[in-house]
Order: sequence, then structure tokens, then C-alpha cells
Amino acid sequence: MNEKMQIALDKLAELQKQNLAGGNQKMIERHLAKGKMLARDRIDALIDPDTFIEIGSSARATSERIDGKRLPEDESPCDGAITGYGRVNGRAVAIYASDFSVLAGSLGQQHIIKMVKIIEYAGKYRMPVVWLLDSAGGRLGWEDVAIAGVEWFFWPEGLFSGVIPQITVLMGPCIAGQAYAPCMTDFLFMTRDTAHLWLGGPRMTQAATSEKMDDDVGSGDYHERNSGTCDKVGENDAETIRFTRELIDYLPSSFADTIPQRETSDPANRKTPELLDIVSADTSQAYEVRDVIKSIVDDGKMFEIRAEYAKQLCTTFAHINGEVVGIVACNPQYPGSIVSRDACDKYYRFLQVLDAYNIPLITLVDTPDELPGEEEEQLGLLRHGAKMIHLYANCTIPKIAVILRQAYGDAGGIILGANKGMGVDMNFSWPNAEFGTSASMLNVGTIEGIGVSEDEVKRLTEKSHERIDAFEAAQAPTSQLVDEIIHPEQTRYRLSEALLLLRNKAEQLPEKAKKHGAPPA
Amino acid sequence: MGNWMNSFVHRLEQVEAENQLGGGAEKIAQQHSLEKLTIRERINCLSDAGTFCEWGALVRDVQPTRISGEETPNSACDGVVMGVCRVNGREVAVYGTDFTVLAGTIGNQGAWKIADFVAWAGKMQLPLVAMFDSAGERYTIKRGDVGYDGFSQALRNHSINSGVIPQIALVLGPCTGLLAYAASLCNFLIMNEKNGLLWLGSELDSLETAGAEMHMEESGQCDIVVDSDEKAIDAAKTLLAYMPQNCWEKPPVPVCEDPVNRTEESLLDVMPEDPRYTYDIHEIIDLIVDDGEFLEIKEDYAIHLVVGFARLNGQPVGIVANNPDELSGVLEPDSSDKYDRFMSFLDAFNIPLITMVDTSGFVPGDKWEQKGILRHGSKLLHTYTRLTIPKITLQLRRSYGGGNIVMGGRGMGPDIIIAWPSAEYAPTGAETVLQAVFNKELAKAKEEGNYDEVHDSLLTKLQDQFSVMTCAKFWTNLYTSHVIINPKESRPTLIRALEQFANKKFELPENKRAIKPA
Repeated sequence: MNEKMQIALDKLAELQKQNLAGGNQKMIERHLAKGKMLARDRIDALIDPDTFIEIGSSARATSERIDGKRLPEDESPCDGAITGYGRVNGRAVAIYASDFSVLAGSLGQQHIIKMVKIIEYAGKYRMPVVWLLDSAGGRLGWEDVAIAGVEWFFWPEGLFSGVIPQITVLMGPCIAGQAYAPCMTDFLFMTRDTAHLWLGGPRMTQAATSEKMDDDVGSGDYHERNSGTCDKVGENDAETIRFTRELIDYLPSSFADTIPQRETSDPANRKTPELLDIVSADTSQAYEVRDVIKSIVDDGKMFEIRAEYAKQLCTTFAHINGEVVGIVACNPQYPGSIVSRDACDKYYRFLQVLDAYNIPLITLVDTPDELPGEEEEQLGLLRHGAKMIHLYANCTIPKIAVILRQAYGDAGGIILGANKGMGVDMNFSWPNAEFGTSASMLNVGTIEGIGVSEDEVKRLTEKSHERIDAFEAAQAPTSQLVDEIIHPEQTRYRLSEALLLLRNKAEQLPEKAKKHGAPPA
Repeated sequence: MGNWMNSFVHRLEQVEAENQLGGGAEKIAQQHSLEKLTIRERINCLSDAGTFCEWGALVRDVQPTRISGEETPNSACDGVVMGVCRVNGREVAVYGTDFTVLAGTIGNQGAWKIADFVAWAGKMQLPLVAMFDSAGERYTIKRGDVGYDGFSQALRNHSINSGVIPQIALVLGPCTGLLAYAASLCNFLIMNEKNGLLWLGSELDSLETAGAEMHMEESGQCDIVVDSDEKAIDAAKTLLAYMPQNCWEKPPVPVCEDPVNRTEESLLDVMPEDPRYTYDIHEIIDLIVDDGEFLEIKEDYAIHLVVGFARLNGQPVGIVANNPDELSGVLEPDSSDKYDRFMSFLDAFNIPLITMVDTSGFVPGDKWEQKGILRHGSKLLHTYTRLTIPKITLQLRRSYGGGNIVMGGRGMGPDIIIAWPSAEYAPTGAETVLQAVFNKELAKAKEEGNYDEVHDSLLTKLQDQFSVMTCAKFWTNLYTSHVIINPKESRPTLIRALEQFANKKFELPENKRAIKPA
């Protein structure tokens, strides 16, 4: 080996040593003291052992602060962005991890380009991309990123939406311009005490508006419960990352791929007599729909999304007979209407994912006999409901519904496949179920200035308030309410057969030049 | 013609005469006393004279005794009048409920008339106008009645033809229950403030609670408010003129009398000298577009963001502009919804987008985070990225933070960024950045007694760094502009850009559907 090669090899070894050591030692200690994992440990936790293929590992910060301060090379390994590929349960994924020990994981220009390129590569090579995010945001006050400079990655995120699964694991702060990025990915998981997602952090918010924000603002729980932005909260980094490994099993590598079947010893024709105990035929009695779901799916295993948001509607992945399904179920355990604004937004997000990645939809219907009140109407209930109608109608995945108890059209029945007109492929009713077109008892004749009397409206519309039981519904297929009444103990078996029957479903909707509608927002 | 035909023709004429009377003279008089037109008058008002071809004119409520117990209730057309007419020479499909017939309630046959007609308009690729004025649902689900299924199909057909044909709803009376969903599914919803009532179905005590003003100012579900049926129909006609017949066509371009090269000195005077002061963005829009004509959409909802249609040398464009006069032109969830929906429409129907930027960006704080300000901002980024129409950014003054990005900053793929020399790119105002980043240096300067000197020197540096005159030196800069112009040249510059981009072709990566933030 000649001297030139030896020098080059030494240089490479030095860079790699710096990379493994991370950035600022004090930052590393503080980081660990908070219970956070280091960037490379996070990557190891995500992927199968020894499968990390790093790219861009020689990158270093290339600029200086506007007051002339410059960073030594060994303090900016990878410019704070570790990128590459690995395998999760044998399947390829693309990875970005921010290194908080390097300038607080902030975004310098080399950092940003690495983030952007890894999404582009993942999109082109059709593999999921996972962001292990922990960053103070734009590298403010530095020359190369004149301004926060984060907009580059929104473009590939938007461009490859629905092409490949995009997942963010947030384990530290995420602020300002960068804070939009996790919301554009398909899923966002956050670590309980250490992750914060804000448009403006406490200091910036106080500077801008004088408001003093509580500590919990922007936390994972806050964004799961209040803002409907976070999908799941982990106790610590290890758990939050484990969610991602689990989730990837429910998703294809891209829209064009199939999802691997999961092996199960749970028989497809297993009877579910316990459902008779879980669900009372008395509609005044509540029950926990998660128990129903666990009874139906393989091995009682579900992967729930946004469990703490709009709890009257449960959205979860599961397997039936080894096949991945998305389940959307009314949960009578919690108050509130399915057609409330927040429940619609939750359903909207989840159903788009299912349709994008060819995952069949199963709805478990039990709409309460009530509508949201005046306040919800004034918040734009109709446009949120219409957004769901639009989406449900335009989804071409297999759509299967089971009516457990109550199905009222206006109370959510029409967006849950409780009657056939909106395009559900197969729907089954338990024998105790009851059907109605409207839960609403509104009589516009009672309102002054409408030009028609209360009595006349009552006479004209009273039939629309009639309710019928499952047998009356099934007796007359002209009304297209239900395909078949089933015994509750046959629920799992019927669903698993339906999934097999619908496997080759091909539905042609009117062609759209831009492949999207112009739906309500 | 033999005599044998006479009796048939006579019967037909009787039906036609009956249809003209709808629910009878008394009901028509009552309709007029509420300052409402009848459905046939409304359709006449929309159509070019003599062009309406009606469908389903013989339809009646075929289970009359179930409805009223009477032998022959008047149920002309089962309360739904529909067909195709010409509007300014272009074919348009129209359906509407007849309030004089059984209070405009939707029966089994009426529901199916609507369902089939909407599908048919989609198949024929014709714009659809729907006029709502109805006391609710007459159908039931007992004994195999088909109305509920029919109306569900109507909703489905509105949905699957969204983005195929333009759909405009006119709410001219009560519109509740599933019917209210049909109206909400249309691209634009026009309400008559005198009689329009839009509500899903919770308890309601007054028309006002569910009226046009509430939906315009609060719920964001109404696009245009008018005070008469005639004006509602005029508004629909004006809207239609900006739109193509369907998603495969481009919108019509009328001859423009307003000079293409019109420069406008007064554009130099709209902005106040002190950048802390505001101005009304409408002044700028009006000075640029053809004949100062701007059709504003949702003009009283989230008024810090202005959206609407205008023309430039006849070419229809959608304009989205921050209004510094209201809340400093901030962005938040409501304005995001307003912007998002408008953008989707423009893209679906091949109408170029022009954004005009002067905003302090999105607002921080607990209240806004609770409402999901981040996912709303992300929704805009998502939609804007995926637009394949020409998209033009006009940077006027402050282009701060997320505001810059969602309004079409460089990284979002606008086709051109045109800037006035007053444009300024920053994460937030220079002073705020200074305090946040250099707090230690400033504290030290305070101790050493040279605060002003240090402060002003850093501030000048930042301001210079944020100015478009600096940013645009770097083509690769994230915050660059492509063309800097004298503001008075705005109109000719935009027109030239539109001409250049007329054949834009941009393909998104293949997928089944995108996944949009909610």
C-alpha cells in the first residue's frame, strides 16, 4: 500500500471514529440523562441486527455563524443527520436519524440535503422511509441556511405521499418550519416525556405573543388527545421505535406491493360466541368495542391508531386469517357522535391509508341514536361529514360492514357501510340490529318563516323516522340495507370468507383527469 | 296523425300543465310571499331562453295514500325538477326540489331521479347545478322502499364525480339531513340569506342559527351569500364562466378589453411606508386583474386569507392572497381549510393558481396547537406540492416562516416566483430572530453598555440577509425569487408568465391515492 492510500484510509478511519463518538460530549451526557437513546442506538433498535448500510457518513457542517464562529470538524459528524438503509423483519427501509449531540440536531444545509435525498431514494426504490427525529430545527443565525431553510423536504414528502409508507418517530423537540414535516408523514409516533412538537416553542411563543405555555403543550399525549396529530405515544424511545417495527408489518413496502401474510394458528372459522356476552342487545347498555375486535381478529392482536382521540370511533389494524385489515368501529363505551368533526378527521386519515395501500376496510357499526349539537354544526360538521362521504365513495378497496346494533343513516350509517347505496361490498347484520334513515327528529315546520306548518312537515316526513329491525330490512332487498343476517358467533368466519371473496375486487370509478376530487376540506 | 293519438297527446298536455303549476297556485303564491322563486322560475332564470329539456316530468309519488291518506295528492314530478339547459351557450345539468310540491320533501322516486341524474351528468361530462329548497325526507325504509338507497346513491354519485364535473349548490330554502350533505359535497355553495337554511339535523330554533351568515362567517360551509334567488342564480352563472365543462377541458378565455401591457403606477402607493402598518390586499388584486373584476369566495370566512377568481388577459385564474389588513395576514386552521379546498378545485379543473404573499406566517400558542394548526399547515403543503396546474407566486412584502412555504416558496415547486423588491424572507420578523438567536450577545452588550450598537449592527445584518435583493443572488437559495420586478409591471409580468405556462406538463409519481393530512 502506498502512502497516499494509507493517509486516505487513516482519514476515513478518523471520520468513522468521530461518527461513532457523536458530537459534543456534554450534549451526549445531557441527552442520556434525559433517558433518551443516542441516534445510532435508535437505528439499531429499529432494524434487524447488523443490517445498517449508511450513506453520507463523511458529511460535516460546511458553514459558519454570522458572527464568524465556526465549528471544528469533529463536532459535526454527519452534520447531525445519519442516513441509510436497513431491514425490518427482513424488509428494506430507508432511515434518517437526527443526532442531537451535533448542534442540537439542527438543520444545516448538508443535514437538509441528506434528509431530502433519503426520501427521494425511498420513493424511487419503493421502500418505507422512517425518520428518527430529534432536532432543534433550523440552524438559525448560520450563513449557509440563510433562513430556517426547511422547505426542501416538504416537496418529496408530498410527492411520494401514497407511494411509500412514511413514518416519523419523534423523540425530542420539533419546532417551527420543521414541525410540519412529521404531520405530512402517514404516521407519527412520539415518546412521552421527551418529545415535543410545536409551531412555536415556549420561548418563541412568548416572544411572539407574550403567552406562557404549559409544559404539556406539544407533548405526545397532547397531540394524540387534543390536536389529533400524533398516532401513538411510547413510554420511552425503545417503545416508540418498537411501534414502528410493528406497524411496518401491517404495511406494504409501496402501494404496488402486497403485504406479507402473517402466520397464525387461529382458525379462520373459529366461532365467536363470547360476542353474545360482550355486546348487550339492550342499546342502553354500553360495551367496549375493542373486546369485540379482539374476539374477531387473529390471536386477539390489534394495532390501534390514535386510541385517545375521538374515542367514540376506534381505528385499528389487525389480521384476519393472516391478512391485514383496517377496522373502523363505533365504540359505545365513549360518548359522542361518529359524525362529529374530530371523529370524521380521524376516520379520514385512517381510511386514506387503507385505500392507498390496498388494505381492506371492515366497519363495525353501532351508531348512537343521536346527532351532535348546534356547536358542532357551527364548527363545520357538514363539510367534515361530506369529506368522509366523498372519501368512502371514492375508495376502491374491499369494504365490508357488520351492523352490531344500531344503524342510522344521518348518524353515521352512510359512511360506515350500514346500507348498500354508498358502495359497501358486503354487509352483514346481527339479528338484533335496528335500522333507520334518520336519528334526527328535526321538524323545519317549527321554525318561523319557513313557509310550511309543523303539522304538514310532520305528516310528510314522519315515515322517514320509522325504524325497522334486521328481519324487516333483510326481507326486502329492494331497500338495499343489508346482504345477510348472521349469527354473532359466525362473525369471524363470515369476515374471513368475505375477505377471500373480495381479494380480486376491481372497481372502476369515473376517471378524473387529476386523479383527485375537489372535496370539502 | 290519426285521431287515436289525440287522447294520448291530451293526457300528456294535462300532465305538462299540471307540472307548470307545481303544487298549485296557492303554494306558488306562498312561495312568492317568502320572496322565493318556484323551481321552474329558478330554472328559467338560469337557462338561455327555451333551452331547458326536462327529464322525468311524468314522475309522481306512486304511493300517495301512504303519504297523505288522500286519493290524489299533488305530487308533480315527485317534487324534483331536472334536466339540461344552456347557460350562456354551454350545456349545464340542473336539478332542484320543488317546495310547492309536498314541501319539497324527497320521496322514493325523487331520490332516484337525483341519483341517476347526477351519474348521468357525470357520464355526459356536464357541469351540475343543484337547487335545494326542501322540508326533508319523505321516503322510509319500510316494506322495501327504495328512497334511502336512492339518496345514498345520489351522495355516492356526487362524490365519485367530484373532480370530474364542476358542481354548484344553491341553498334557497331549508336543506337538512342527507340533502345537506349533497349540498356540502358540491364544489361551491351559494346561499340566499333570506331563506337558506343548512343543517344536518340537531335541534334548531331559528332560521338564523342555520342561515347564510352563520355558514359564511363561522362554519365555512358557504361560499357566496346573496339576498335573492335571482342573485344566487347570477352568481352560479358567473362561477360557471370561470370553469371548464369538465376536468378534461380548459376554462373558456373570453376576449379581454383591458390592455395586456397596462402598467399601474398606483401599485407603488398601496403599501404604507412603515412596514409595521397594513393595507388591504384587495387594492392590489383589483389593480392587476382584468377590469378590476374579482369574484371572491368565502369572503367573510377567515378574512386574513383572500381567495377568488379573476382573469388575466381573459385567462381565468384562482388567486390566493394574504390580507395584511386582517390579523397581519396570518395563517391558521380556518384559512388553511379555505385555501386547501380552493386549491383542490383549481387543480381538478385546470385553472392556474396565483398566490400573493404578505404574511407573518402561522400563529403559535396553545389555542392554535389544540386546533391542530400543524396538521392544517401540512395539509396545505401536501396539496400545494401535488398541484399540476401552473402555479405562480407573487412575493409582495413579508414572506415569513411557514407562511412563505405554503404560499409557494421555492422548495414547493412553484413554476415561477416573481418578487417585488420589497419582498423579505425570514423565519419570522428580524427583531424576533435577533432576540432568539443572539440573546447572550445582547445581554453581554447590555452589561458592557454598547447594546444599541451591537443590536443595530446585528439587526442590519439580518435585515440585509432576509431581503430578496440578497436572497435572489443565490439561485440555489431556499428562499430565492426568479424574477424581481417593479411593482407597476405586475399585470404584464403575470400575463406573460401565464402565456409561457399554458402547456405545462407535470406528472406525479404513480400511486393509488395520496394520503392527505386531515
